[in-house]
Amino acid sequence: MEYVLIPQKDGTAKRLPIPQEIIDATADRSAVVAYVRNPPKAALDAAETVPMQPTASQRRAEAKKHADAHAAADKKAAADREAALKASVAPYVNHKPATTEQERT
Amino acid sequence: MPAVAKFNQVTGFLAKVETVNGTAVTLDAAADGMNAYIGDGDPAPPESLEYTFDGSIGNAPGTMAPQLRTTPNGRFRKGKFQFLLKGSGAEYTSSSVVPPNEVHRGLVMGGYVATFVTDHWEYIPASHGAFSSFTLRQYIHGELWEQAGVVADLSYESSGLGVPIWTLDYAGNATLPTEGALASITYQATGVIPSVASAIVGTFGNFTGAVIRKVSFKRNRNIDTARINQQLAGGHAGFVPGRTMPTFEVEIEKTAFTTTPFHASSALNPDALREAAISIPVSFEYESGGTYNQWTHSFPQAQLTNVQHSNDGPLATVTLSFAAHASTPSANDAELILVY
Repeated sequence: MEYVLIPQKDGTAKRLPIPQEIIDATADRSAVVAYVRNPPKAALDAAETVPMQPTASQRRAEAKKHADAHAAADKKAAADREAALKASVAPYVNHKPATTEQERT
Repeated sequence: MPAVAKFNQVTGFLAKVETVNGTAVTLDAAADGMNAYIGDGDPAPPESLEYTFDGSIGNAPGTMAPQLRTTPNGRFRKGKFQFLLKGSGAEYTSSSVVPPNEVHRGLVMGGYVATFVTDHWEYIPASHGAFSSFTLRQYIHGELWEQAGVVADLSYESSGLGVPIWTLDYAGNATLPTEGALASITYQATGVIPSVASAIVGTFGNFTGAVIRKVSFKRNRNIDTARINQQLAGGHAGFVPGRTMPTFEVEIEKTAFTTTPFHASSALNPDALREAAISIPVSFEYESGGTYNQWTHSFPQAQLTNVQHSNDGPLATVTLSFAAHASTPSANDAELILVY
């Protein structure tokens, strides 16, 4: 089964089913394009209303945005962990061990 | 010495969606060719015919030896069609531009519906009960193997760095094979080379930095239920597809663990993620084929259902099984395949 998503003015889309005989009508599928361009009103009215789907490039941009946001959050968390670790070991950094009996006591 | 009568050397497939389920449509070698992947070796021989009833009428009471059988009944055939997923190679300017038949029709045979959206094709699971069946012809051994009412389960595997190989395990009614030479089949997008498993983008929730070694997908679509009809000559009215259980199995290199929610950009805590039953999106993009020859397969919602610890020599690896699920009991959104 094939459908074509036809954008509507309100931001939704109609998921219009393409009859198999239209798909089979012409080898170059020009009949499908003609059908979608000027679908029967009854078919369009009966078609399911769905949210308009993003384009392929929009999907990729959105995925990249999420990945970048997660990477930035991870980087900040790693920096925070490192800072906390540094703070926890700071008293012992550059600490000179006692070298004489007097210093040790 | 007589000449060889038949060879196992060439094969070919034609397939077309049926207007009426189980009623064969006319196939055209110029328009309905499905380009099969047969690997490096010879093609596989044709799969055997099978019968719902094998003809046995039991043992002879006087000897306990088998009795003369009656005719087998309920003929069908199960087979395998493998293909490489690729795009059309041309800009998707309208619904007249489609991926090649083995992709566009293959995915529909596997239980999806195709929707043209602006600049790409989307394949989503067919609504329950609204499946498409196909008329299929295989040329092999200098014979024609004709089937109608064909439905299929779908899977693919992307192992190492090669091209992901997609498989349709199909089943349908069958006629007895006839003699027939391989037709001159027209295939689409023959100049388009499919994406390899290189530079793919794998996403597991926040975990985007995985070192991925292997991806396999199984749709686990039940196509085993036969419609038995005693009123019908032959008795077999085709198969009715049922439930699916889409699953990704992914082998990755192990990472450092991470705390809740157990998936960070470069770290994963698989056993904790599984035990917490956290739902995350899982997707794979194969884009190395270039413009108008790329695809993405995603589970918008998935849960880790099995964690298998493994190794490759000294390298620690783990194999993760993700099962897709719908966002609500009625939403048909467990899977999405994009070809663009």
